[in-house]
Amino acid sequence: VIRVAQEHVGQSLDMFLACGRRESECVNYWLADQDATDVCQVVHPTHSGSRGGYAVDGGWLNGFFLDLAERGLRAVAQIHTHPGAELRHSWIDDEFVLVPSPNFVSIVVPDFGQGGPHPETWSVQVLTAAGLWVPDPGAVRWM
Amino acid sequence: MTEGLDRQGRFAVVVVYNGLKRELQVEPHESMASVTERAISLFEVSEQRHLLALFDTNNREFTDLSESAAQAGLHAGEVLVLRQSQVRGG
Repeated sequence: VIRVAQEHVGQSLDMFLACGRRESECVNYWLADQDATDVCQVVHPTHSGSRGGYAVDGGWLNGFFLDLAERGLRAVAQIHTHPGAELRHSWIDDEFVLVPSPNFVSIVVPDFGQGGPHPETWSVQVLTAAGLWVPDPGAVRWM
Repeated sequence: MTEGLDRQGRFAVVVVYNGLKRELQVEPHESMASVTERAISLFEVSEQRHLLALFDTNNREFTDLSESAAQAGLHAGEVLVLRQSQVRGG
């Protein structure tokens, strides 16, 4: 179970509105110390975005993983927006996740994040060792 | 003996994945397919892992998996990044 403070939820929503401008998808990553599950930082990657999806810059990804190693951090969750009310992962969401490891968390926020800080309206999915995504609202504790 | 090589000519590289660092012993004549597979095995990764690839610190992907480690230019102490070749959503 990862624990995230309202402050970090708010940072993600602010970035969704500033970057996505209510018309394109956006993604953030939530970081924690390597031996912890409390979110300590929100990162907004360099990415392209459209109404139908987003793609993270490869050079940014390389530097990101190296920077995490330098700082003793890891990504514990990704949180991204969808254009409408649909919360299910697309096959692209399934396949092209940042960290394809068991217990990595993926959160989908509807309506480009315009609905405010209401995690009960978001979907929380967790990746299994078998490579399947399963809904698990209890995987995130909202502080 | 050449610096960084053991008696069998093997050398160590460092693999970084999501902030975790692991050392990997590499044979110069080992294929990059084998190096990549063994790098993945150093970490806890879900079964769907065919999109993971190795990159150098300059973001050059090792795409020719039939090359040997020596042909690919790997050297002792090199830092490699293990990551998804594409990260996107839709």
